[in-house]
Amino acid sequence: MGAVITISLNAMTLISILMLVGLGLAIIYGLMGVINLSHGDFVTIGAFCLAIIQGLGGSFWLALLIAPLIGALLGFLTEQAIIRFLYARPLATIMATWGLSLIIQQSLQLIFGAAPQKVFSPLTTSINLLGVNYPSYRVVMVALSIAIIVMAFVIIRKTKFGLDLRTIIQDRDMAEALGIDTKFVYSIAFSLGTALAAIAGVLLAPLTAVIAQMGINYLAKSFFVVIVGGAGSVPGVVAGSLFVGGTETLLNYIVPTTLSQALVLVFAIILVRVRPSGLVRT
Amino acid sequence: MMIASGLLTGSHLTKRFGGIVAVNDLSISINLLEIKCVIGPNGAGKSSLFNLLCGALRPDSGELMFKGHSLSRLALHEISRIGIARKFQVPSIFESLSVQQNLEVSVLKPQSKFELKDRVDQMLDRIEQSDMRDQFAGNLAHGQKQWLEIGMALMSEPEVLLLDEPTAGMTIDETLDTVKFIHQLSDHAAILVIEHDMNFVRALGCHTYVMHQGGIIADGPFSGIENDDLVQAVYLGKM
Amino acid sequence: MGRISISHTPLPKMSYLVILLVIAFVYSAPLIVGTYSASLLRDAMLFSMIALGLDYLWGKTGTLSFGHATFFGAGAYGAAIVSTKLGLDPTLGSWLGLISGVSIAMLIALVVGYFLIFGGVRGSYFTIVTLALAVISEHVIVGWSDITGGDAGLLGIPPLFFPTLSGLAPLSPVVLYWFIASVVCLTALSLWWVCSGRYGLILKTIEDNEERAQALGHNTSQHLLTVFVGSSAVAALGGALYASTVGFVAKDIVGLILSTQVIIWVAIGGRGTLIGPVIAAIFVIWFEQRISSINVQLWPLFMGFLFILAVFVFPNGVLRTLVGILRKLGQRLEHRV
Repeated sequence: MGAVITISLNAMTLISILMLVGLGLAIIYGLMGVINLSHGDFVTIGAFCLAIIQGLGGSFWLALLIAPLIGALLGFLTEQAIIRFLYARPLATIMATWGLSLIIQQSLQLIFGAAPQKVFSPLTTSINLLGVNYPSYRVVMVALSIAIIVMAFVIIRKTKFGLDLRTIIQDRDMAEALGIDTKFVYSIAFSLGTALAAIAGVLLAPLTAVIAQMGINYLAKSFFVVIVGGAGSVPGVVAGSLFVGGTETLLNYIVPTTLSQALVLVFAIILVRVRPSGLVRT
Repeated sequence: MMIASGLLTGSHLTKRFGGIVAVNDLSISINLLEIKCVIGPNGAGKSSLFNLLCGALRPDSGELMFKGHSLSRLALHEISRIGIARKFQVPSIFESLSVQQNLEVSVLKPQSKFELKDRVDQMLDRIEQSDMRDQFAGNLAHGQKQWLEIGMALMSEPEVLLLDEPTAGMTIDETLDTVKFIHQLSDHAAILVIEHDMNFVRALGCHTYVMHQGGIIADGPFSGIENDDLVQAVYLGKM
Repeated sequence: MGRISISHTPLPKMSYLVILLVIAFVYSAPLIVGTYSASLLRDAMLFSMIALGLDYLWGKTGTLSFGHATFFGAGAYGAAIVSTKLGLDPTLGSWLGLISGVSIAMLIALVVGYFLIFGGVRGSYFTIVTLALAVISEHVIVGWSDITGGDAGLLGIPPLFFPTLSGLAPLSPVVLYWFIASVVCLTALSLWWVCSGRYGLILKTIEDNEERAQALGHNTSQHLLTVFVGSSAVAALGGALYASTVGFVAKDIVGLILSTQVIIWVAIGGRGTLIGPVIAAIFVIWFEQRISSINVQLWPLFMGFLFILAVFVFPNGVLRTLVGILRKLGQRLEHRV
């Protein structure tokens, strides 16, 4: 029983990170058809923000506030400088954002070095959940992630901005005919997506090695989240994260890590064959 | 279950999208070398019907038969191979190939270079594009693209040709030319046209189905259809 | 039937000259530049096989794979494992390794390709899944160290043995170089020949408008799968030859970094020209060595900028862009006169 709870909690940790990273990716893809290969590096940027702020004596919670702002700003610049010229060329976007990804990674490494950055978890205690001792930080992280996802869901469902967003996802031409400023919505949505990735980076940092290349693993996984779940909706991202995160955590207890990652890929590919439009249809 | 007759027969076709019934228990058939037309106001379900007939959509219920064989399990390319060709609504040609190359790739299994050249030359002649054979198809005028696409569909020597709004975006002269063109084609294949332009259908003057809210509300020669009160009411929105 | 065609897209005359010059240089190189440089050129040619394979896929059908080094790696590791771990006689094992390496890569491509292509995965989605394939193949190579040697790689791969007057023996370095140059040239030539007729046009229709191509009766999924497996086989052949030529394999020949380098080679060389990516691969690898000798970390940064340049400045390859600019300048001068 205790093992089951631990596995579930571990799965929830991975799932909540995947949800945050995947949500930004899914909004950007579902809305603009843009695949942003530098998305993972915004996770890295978030984590580095935490390292820098803590290095300067700031607290974790301060970083959690500042990192998304920096993520959003850099995302906005990326959209303005690169992405918006390439909306008609999806493969070119992939290539350009990959180039950007390399530039971000290598610049970070040149500036900060290859050694892992020092970050500290804000909570070092553990709490008792259903008879299992579990690090409080992970529990808080899962709760925060869920809160952010719910907030995103509410924004997309209930606000004017969310309505514009959904209209464009449905039919871009119609949205423009209705007077929605698609360019504005695009740049805001893109910045929101990168801000979410930066938040994920801060939350994730205390649990992993903060290095310049840390984003790439989350990039590949969160793309599976989007592919499996279906692009462009919050429920799709949740379903995709549950599938990818759940399967990987579970498999990790049965087979070696590398094999479990390969198996998740295999499952995802088979799932694509069976349900090409994803688990949740939009 | 009704016994299907005719070359291409759809019986009791139904297609739903979410809560909307786009095609509702609709039966339609076309015989050898016949021209038939489906008209209806926007939103009547014409495009869904077209996509059902050419296999791009699967019906939720009902059966589609070609020469007595069911089409329900065939992939898009297989449907084309057994003799049903289609022309899309938006001109759908290979823009980065030349006009001649467009026709060339439309032949599935050419017997020889000479036979292929012969057929391509003939078709260029028929669609009146011999003098622009080496141009990029992407540079053609809109009407010429439409004709090229019909030409491409004909290269496989189909028994049934499905045309989705073949004169969309054409001038009146081009439309009348296209009517003549379609009449010439009917020596080679049965043709089913989906259209909402009344003038075009009048000029075509063939057996016509009138579609409304996913079903067929009238069918017969166009002259009779045009004067039908119910049809007028539906078409002119007097209901 | 693929050959029956009435229209060919001729290459500009200049390019024949360039190709001849390159081939002449490549064959005479060991006699001019010395053994060490020739061995670098030889390795670069083997890597260029990935570019050749990728261009067959990306250049001809418009489908971009972000994980083509996976197949080079599968070819190399397949060859390495079969020729070193099964206790085979090296004269036989080296050839068996080559065949197994290529077969394993083709099998992976067939399975992955079947599920993706017949599952309707196209365009960006396809690219992303192949990216994940590259990430995961790297994990597998590192994690499955009993078989693959993990981080250390595999050593002692026997060279290919050829019949000589004095029995079976490996080739001398210069002859081996010529052998590899010939394999690359022949592969490029065959791909060019295959794609020059009607078959090339049909592949082009898939890039242009796949639905239309299907409506004309072309089994586009089948075509795409064939090209995907074929392009993987070309990359794998490069990998398998690499293993037996260099004698060791390490994890840097699979994975994302090499996979994306290949994209740059193809983009610089000119997508769809087949020979362009091969030439570009050799040049860029040479350039990479120069840059990396200054500082190893500079190269990935450079590559990042190359990607952005490839998208914005030379979307059709460096050579075609230069020719275009020269042509425009020429026209302008004519206008003035």
